[in-house]
Parts: sequence; structure tokens; C-alpha cells
Amino acid sequence: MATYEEIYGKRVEVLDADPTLTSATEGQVWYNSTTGTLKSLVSFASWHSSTNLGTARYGTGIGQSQTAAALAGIQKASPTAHIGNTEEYDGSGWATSGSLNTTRYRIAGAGTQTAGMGAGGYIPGSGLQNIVEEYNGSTWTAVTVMPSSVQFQSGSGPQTAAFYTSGNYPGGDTGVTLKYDGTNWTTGPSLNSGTRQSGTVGGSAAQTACLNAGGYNPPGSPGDGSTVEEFTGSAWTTVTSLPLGIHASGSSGISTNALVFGGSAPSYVKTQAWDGTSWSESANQATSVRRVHNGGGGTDAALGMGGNPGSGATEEFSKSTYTTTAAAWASGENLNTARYHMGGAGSQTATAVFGGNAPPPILSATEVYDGSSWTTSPASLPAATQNLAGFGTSTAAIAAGGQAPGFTDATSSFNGSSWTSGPTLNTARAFLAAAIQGTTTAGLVFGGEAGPGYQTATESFDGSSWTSTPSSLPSAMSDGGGAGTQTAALIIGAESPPLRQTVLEWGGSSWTAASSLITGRTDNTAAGSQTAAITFTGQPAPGNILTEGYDGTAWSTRPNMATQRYGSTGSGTATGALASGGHLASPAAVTNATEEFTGETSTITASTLTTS
Amino acid sequence: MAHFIYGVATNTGKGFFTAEDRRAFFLRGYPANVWMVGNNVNGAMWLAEKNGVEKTKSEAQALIDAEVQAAQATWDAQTDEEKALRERPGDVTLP
Repeated sequence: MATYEEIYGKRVEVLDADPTLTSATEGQVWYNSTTGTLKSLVSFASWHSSTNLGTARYGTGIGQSQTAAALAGIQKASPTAHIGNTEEYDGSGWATSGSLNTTRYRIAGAGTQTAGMGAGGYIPGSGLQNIVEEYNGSTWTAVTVMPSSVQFQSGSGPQTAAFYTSGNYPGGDTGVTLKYDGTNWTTGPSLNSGTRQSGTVGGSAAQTACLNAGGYNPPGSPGDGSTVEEFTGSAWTTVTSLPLGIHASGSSGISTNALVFGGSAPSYVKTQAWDGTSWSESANQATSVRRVHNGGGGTDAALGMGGNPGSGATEEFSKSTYTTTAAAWASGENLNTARYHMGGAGSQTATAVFGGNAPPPILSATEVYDGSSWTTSPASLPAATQNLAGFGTSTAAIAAGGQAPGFTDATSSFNGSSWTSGPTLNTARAFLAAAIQGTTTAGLVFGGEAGPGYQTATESFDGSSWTSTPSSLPSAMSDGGGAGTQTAALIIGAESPPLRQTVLEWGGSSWTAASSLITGRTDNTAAGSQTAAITFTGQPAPGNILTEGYDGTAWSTRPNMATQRYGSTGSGTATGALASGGHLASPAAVTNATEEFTGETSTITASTLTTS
Repeated sequence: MAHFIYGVATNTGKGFFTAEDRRAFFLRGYPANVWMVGNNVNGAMWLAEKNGVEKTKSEAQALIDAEVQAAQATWDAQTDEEKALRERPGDVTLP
């Protein structure tokens, strides 16, 4: 038998332990003398779930990137529930954006997240449309209409050089193609086989190199959805058919290196890969009952989102040496005492909660979590208090303000075993927020509610006294979430309806407006820093179950919690957070349940080579 | 086929539902230990493994209503001072 050296020209390296694995290790083979195994690092294809769309839908997908895509419109689960707004994906979650000027569906998208377009479509009662709208990353603008009304086209290419293939015209599925130069439309060479709802890929050079794969063939018409045609700049040529006929699929890549995925049954979970010559089957999607009209990205990193009927599922395709695990909430260990509107401080695995409402009565009890169980501390707050703020760690925390039962200016510090009364706030108040990453010598609280109403006051703590900062919140805000530190904080949401989407950043001396929440809420909580935060829980619905993440610039969706709740306490970071207690959906059910959030992770693992 | 299964199961804390569960099927909790899960193999297996008792949607709603109404009665019996500390429990309707 030939040796590896005779075949490959190199010997297999013998190592005591696996090398440090990086992308550069891909393809290397080594023998681990400790475990007695032959190992290698190989890339593999897989789909993994990501954060769902805010609104389940299928519509027109635009964007050439896995981390910068958009989905506009169009149809929710009900055939009559049409929506016109857009959602944008940033690689982690979805954020809402501008609405189409003309709400319609069966539109075809092209371009990028910041320079996209949607063409044609259908309006019940009005029929096929020739409307074209361009998207600039925030708003849609009507531009030059197409030469004909059409639905079910497939689009590819940039906004200034887009190529639209297939489609259902008044004369049927004629095979007409259309080119757009950013201003005007011209007719291109027709497909050899007329079809609609095909998968079209062309990348930035779509008008000169494009692939049209699959498509719908009405009953009685020839074809089974497996026809593939390639365009090389002047004419379409029929090439190797898809192994599985498909229509209404997602697609990504370029004409010589493409993926088509999802689509009509029976191949709705399938992914088919094109290498310029032949098709092969790749990894299946996880979401099985949907058609993915929408896709984006390349062949190593693609995105599938939404689907029919009314799916919100989003999945990322990766061909990589890394395994990606999607973010999710899981149940945590239960508190010993069900409670809400308490204070809290710490991390996902080391947290203290204190005070709150049982109900009744108002509580002074403290519980400490060590990552595996909650222990009721022998130490209690100096006074039973609810609606208070907390920050710090499980062994060095500050409790500030609240109702005991009247509005209080009291503060106290916890050292892990006992509470000590501290200096008073300058403004007595409850429902105040805190920079939860503050410390016992560098804290910040802001907003809240007192006798006269909602508060603007911001106070900083240096370990010995509280000082009202010269700059207050620009609007009185109560019962929002707080994140960050004494010098870089966030207030997220507020009680009064106009402010529920409001987010403000504290830079150490003043508050400035930040991007608004997608879903307004109050009675919410938060975790993390000013540039990497999440907010969760709250009211009214649907804010009680939704999670949103902030990257210092914009908010996008994260996976939902399992239980709708508000009045909880949050701790931890944007990638490792803990939600403790609160109300379950209604004040009827005060809960002792907790949930733990784990952000998306990627791991790299070597494969063991065997003879089988 | 119904989209969801309804059941009653006690949340035992950590491990009751995992991140893998959340990725595998729809899951949402309600008062009265009522859980609504996706009507698929993963959802059904989870409810069974948690010793859950399957309910019809109307049975599950009745359990929630009973808990909410009991809480509303408790709230109504409170003094005005006590009521000021906490809002009256609202109705919860399964979607």
C-alpha cells in the first residue's frame, strides 16, 4: 500500500498535542501521539439558526452579504395580510426600516442593503405591477417603471446594473429578461425556457455572467423546475439540470459558484451547490416547513430568511472550519422566593438579587447565585424595599432608592455577607435605572419616579457620597433599563408612551440621543455595556418576550425569551445574561423562574481520520 | 394539524428547557405552569420528558383564567394603599 508520503510528497507530522487551530490550519494532517489518532482540520458546510425576523413574512430579499441583507414587505401568514415595511439584518438580528411606497408582494429584489431595489409585483384587485422602487438603506423611492407589468421575477446584480430574469407577465411566463442601469430599463436576451420564481445569481457582474436555476412550471406545461440556464453576456445556454427541481428558492453566489436552497416541496430543506459544471447536494436547512424566497451572500456564507407560509425563521449557511451555535435563552435555576421589581447586581453566573415584591409584602431578603444554585443570604437589606436600582457584583453591590414603602433616598452596600447603610441620594425616588456595570466606588443612577412625578436627575457615586450631575436626562424617564458604567451608560426605554423607544447614551458628562429601540417598552431590564448591550422583558406586549441587542450604533433583534415577563432583574453581558424573577405575562403570576441568555458562539474542532 | 401543543409542566429550573431545546422547537410559558410548544416531534418529546400533562387549548386557557381570576380577587380585596403598590392583574389570552 502506498504511504502518505508517496502519495502527497510530505510526511505526516507527529505532535504530542493538537496544534493551535485557526483557519490557516485547514487542510493540514498530523498524528497526535498522545491520543494515537490521525487528525486533520477540514471545512464543512452547515446551516445554523439565527435570530428570527421581527415579523414573519416572505418578501423580496436584497443584499449580497450574509451580514448585511434586507427583506422588504410583503406577505404575512394570511394571504390578505400584506405589509410594506423592511427589516435589515446585521449578522446578529433584524431591525425595522422604511416601508415601500406601494405595498405589494411577489416583488423581485436586487442590489445591496444600502443600495437595493424591488421591481414589479402584484396587488390583489389591481393585478400585476410595473412599479420599481429603490432603497437607500432607510427609505424607498419610486423610480422608472419597467416596460411591462410582471410578478415572480428573479433579480440579481447591483442597483446600477441589475439583471431580472424569468417572471410572470400578462402574456405568461415568456422568458423575457430585463436590465436596469440605475435609470432606465432595456430588454435583454430571453431565456430558452420561460419560467417564473427561479433562483438567479450573478453577483456584481450579473448583466454579463448570470445563472438562472429552476423555476415554476404550471401544471400541463413542460419542465419540472430543474432547468438551468447560464448567461455569458450575449445569450442563454442550457446547462446541467438541478438534481432536484425547485422553485421559489433562495439563491446566492455567482454564475460559476452558486447555491440554491429552500423553495418548493419536496426539496424545501435542500441546498444544491453549483461549481460551474455540475450540481451537488450540500447541507440541509433545519427549518423544514417553509419556502425560502429570499437569499443572499456567497457560497461560503449565505443567508436564508423568511418563507411561505409566514415564516420568521432565519438561517445562516457556512462553509468553514468553525461550528457556529446560535444564540438562545434557556431556563436557569429558580429563585428561592418568587419576586418582582427587585434590585440586582452581578454576572450570569454570580449574581445577587435583593428586595422586591412577593407580593405582598415588600421584601428585604437577598439571594445570591453562584452559577448552580440560589442561596438565601442571612443578610437582608436594612429596610424592605421594592422598585430599587442595583449595580456592582454579587460580592460588592449597591442598592439605591426604591419604595420602602414610600419613595426613599436610602442606599446601602453589600459585601457578600452583610448590608451596610450608605449615604443618601439627593433625590428620593423609585423605578430608577442604574449603570449596572458600575462599582461600589464608581456608580451612576438616573431617572425614576417620585412624589412630583417622573425624574430627570442623574447622580454619580464615588464610594462615599452621591453627587447630582450638572447634566440631567433631557426628558423625565422612569422604569427604563440601565446598562454600562459610570462614564459610559445607557438608559433604554421609559414609562411614558412617547419615550418607550427612547435610548440615551451617557458619555460621562451629558446625555445624547442614541438609536431607538425597535419595540418600545417599559419595566424592562438590560445587561452589558454601552457598546454591547441587550434589553429584555418589559411591557406592554410584545416587549415582554422580545430581546434586542445594541452594538453601540443600532438595535437589532435577538432570540425571544420563553416566558413573557416584566419587572425582572437583569445582570451580565450582551453575550451572557441572566433574567431573574418578574411577572409572567400578568401580575397574576409572580415567578421565581430565571432564564439565561447565551450569545452566538463559534468553535473550531479537528477531525479524527479513520479508515472507514 | 394544529400548530401548537398545550401542556402543564412544572419549571424545575436549570435544564428545564435548554438552549438546544429553544433552537429545536417553539416554546412559550404562561401562568399556571402552562406551556405552549411547537406541534412537532421535538416539542412533543420535550413535554413528555418533563412529565407534562397535555391539555387542549381551551383547557389550558381555563387554567390560566383560574389563576388570573384568583389573583384579581386577591387584589380587589386589598386596601387602597396596598393596591397603589401594584396594578390589578390583567387577563392573559393564549394566542
